[in-house]
Amino acid sequence: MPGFLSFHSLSQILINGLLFGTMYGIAAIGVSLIFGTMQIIFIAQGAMIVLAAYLTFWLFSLFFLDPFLSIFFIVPAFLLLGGGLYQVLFRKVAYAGKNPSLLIAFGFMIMLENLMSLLWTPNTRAIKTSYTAYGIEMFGLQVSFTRMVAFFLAILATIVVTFFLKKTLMGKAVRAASEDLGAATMIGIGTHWVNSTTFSIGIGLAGLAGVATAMTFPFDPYFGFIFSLKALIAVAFGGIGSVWGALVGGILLGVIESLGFYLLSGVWADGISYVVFLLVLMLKPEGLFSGFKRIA
Amino acid sequence: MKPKKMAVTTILAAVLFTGLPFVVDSESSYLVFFLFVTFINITVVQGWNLVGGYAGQVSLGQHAFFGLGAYITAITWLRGFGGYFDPLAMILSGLGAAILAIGVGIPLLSKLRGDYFALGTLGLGEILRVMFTQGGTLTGGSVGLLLPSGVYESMKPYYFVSLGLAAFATLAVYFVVKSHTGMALIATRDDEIAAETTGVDTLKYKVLAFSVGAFITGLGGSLQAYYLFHIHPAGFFSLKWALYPILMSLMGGAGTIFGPILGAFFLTGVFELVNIWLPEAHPIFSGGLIVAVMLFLPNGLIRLRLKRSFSKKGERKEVK
Amino acid sequence: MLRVNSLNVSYGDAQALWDVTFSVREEEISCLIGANGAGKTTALSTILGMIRPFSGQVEFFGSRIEGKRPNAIVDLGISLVPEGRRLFSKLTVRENLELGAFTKQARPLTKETIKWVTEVFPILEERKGQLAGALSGGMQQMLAIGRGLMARPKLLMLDEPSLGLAPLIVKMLFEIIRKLNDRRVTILLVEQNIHQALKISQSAFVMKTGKIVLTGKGCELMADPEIKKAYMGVLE
Repeated sequence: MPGFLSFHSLSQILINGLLFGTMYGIAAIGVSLIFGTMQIIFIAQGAMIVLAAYLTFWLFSLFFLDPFLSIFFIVPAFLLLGGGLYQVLFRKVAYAGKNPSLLIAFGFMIMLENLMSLLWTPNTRAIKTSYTAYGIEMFGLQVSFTRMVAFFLAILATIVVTFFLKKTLMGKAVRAASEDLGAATMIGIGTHWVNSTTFSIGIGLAGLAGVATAMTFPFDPYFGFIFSLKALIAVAFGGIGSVWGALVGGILLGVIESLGFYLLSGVWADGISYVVFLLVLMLKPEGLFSGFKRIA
Repeated sequence: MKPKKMAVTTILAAVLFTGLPFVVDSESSYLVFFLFVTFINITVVQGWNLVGGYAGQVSLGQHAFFGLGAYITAITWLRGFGGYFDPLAMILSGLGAAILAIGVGIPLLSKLRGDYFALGTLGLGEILRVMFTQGGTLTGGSVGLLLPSGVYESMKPYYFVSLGLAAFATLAVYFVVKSHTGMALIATRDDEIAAETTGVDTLKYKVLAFSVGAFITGLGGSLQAYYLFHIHPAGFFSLKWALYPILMSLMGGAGTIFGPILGAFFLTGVFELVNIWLPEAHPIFSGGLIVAVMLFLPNGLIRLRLKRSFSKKGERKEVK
Repeated sequence: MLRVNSLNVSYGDAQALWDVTFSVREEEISCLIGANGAGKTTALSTILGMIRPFSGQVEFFGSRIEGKRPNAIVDLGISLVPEGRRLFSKLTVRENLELGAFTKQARPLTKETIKWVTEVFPILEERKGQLAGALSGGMQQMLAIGRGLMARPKLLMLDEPSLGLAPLIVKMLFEIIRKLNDRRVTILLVEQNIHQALKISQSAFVMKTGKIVLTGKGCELMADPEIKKAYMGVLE
């Protein structure tokens, strides 16, 4: 175990954590939104991300479609898919209490993961493009190109979603519904419509996260569950319903993991995340940043 | 079902189950094996039923208690404190799980939002899995611990102990529910805030339900450890043990005494069949089944009766 | 314009409304009065489509609306200002108003409607950028009514608007309700403040444990000795 942590190594670790964490962040925004409006813990978010990653992989392997370009196919497809999934899985139980939807999400996750495993084998997949190993040097630090891109995509996605929520009428309706669903219904906002829109966005974000995942590191069908947990941890950090909170929460998690990985061995690093998660839930469930002003 | 009918059925079932191993050859009988598995399932299912069905707190982490119970049993045996089918070791396993439940439950359940609890328990399960994988020689790492399987003589003790555990678990639920505690739990489940205002210390009861459930689950893990003779994180902290109790409770009817038993029988049967015919599709099938049950049978098999229920559109049902 | 016929509503196994029948005439103020738990809010919720009755009809301008979804009913011209106001506290005054005009027929006219509403409640124009949660009780009630008006309703239903407000504000509130009625908005008022309600209403329906027990003109009922005994004693 390294005893001395130079500033350089520390910065490197932090940067890695930051970039990695944005992936958690994108996943977390979707989960946070869905939970904020529908009170559904969509634990299958990670599995959806892996699905998107697989699609990216196949588009690349079979049709040589560059992952960047697949964003333009996958994200819209996932936006539509999200609406459809809501209709099939959650519409019926949206107001039946928390348990049915939680369990449906659980069941769906298990189905999806194992289906992917069956179809595409449990082997790990990764994409290798001409620029995969490409690194940039910034301030003397090594930064992976693809991760940098993923980072900017995440920021972009967050900005877009925040804009949607704050500036568009639909977005305001979503915010209103997540605050007081009954009142929103009373003034004529169709609740299933709100739910399905929010769910669409959540799944669309999963699509984006999936492409980013495929670009940056190897994955397998069961990766999704861990991803979901990490997304939930990020949401716990950032506070439910806060879009920027979810992103920052993800980054924070990435940094903690990065530090943990460096200072301890790999599996313990995972453990640390869970311990911090439990602690946050037990001590400050409103999120670490609830003292800050909420944007959305 | 009328109480008299229930009592008669129960006694009949008890007699049948107890007598079975004397009528068939317990070593080769598939029925005995099937019932053994079902009884263990019933045990863990009732564990969840208490906290999830009656207290209304969805625990996604029962696998933590199952695995912990198993490990405690294994470790005490290997270290010389316990032995084969040692009742003290089993009780210790249950206690260990219960203590963990109390420790984690108090902070998690003190918030009025049930989702934090659900997520927290999920995290708990994962933490334990990681911990036990890293436990070094104490826990045997990812390979796990091997118990001396040479002492295995017959299926009979397993069968009877599992039957006993299932009965114990069901009785425990029965007595809790029929008691003052039970009323408090149901009040908490239906409207926690209202219960609080009438002076019910909801935290105390929720933690009680959680820890008793954990105790029972730990016992189940202990028995499973004795059966498999090999305790490892992947198998014993598998999400399967978090999932099945919930699924079986819900399918049969959570929040009832017999519903989970019904669910356990039904689903164990279904899973065994699926395992025989389509082993790879097994998890896909379970997952799909959960979705189907929640969409079409949310109140469980035991509650299949027409209800005149009208809920306000747009108003969420009471938060559990 | 609104006719409620033999409405029977239950929450699960508990019946809340028993054969409730009453009607609201156009451009009038009608009120539903009664003690807590009499079923007044349930009646309004049913009219709005939040609850489905297990028997009975609700007719609006002659067509049946019971069982329709709330957004359809709001679109047809019925608006509810709920008990406790239920504003979106994390959104601004202006955003609350905008959302009030969410339905298909109201949305294209949002700008105009906001102008009209801020005429009635000038203070909303002043505070339009403020978060709804930061307003005082009286202002919140005005915003809530304003939001209800944004749907350009033909019938405005108000559920206990005076709840929790200081007497002076209550007076002002009922003035506003009367003014709105002058501008040809039909009003169905649910109130515990029986005195004020009867004073401004043309028709009144008294509810007790889910049934309508008395109907009549507002001024008549004010003088009714039974009413005086049962309810007035509790007030002022």
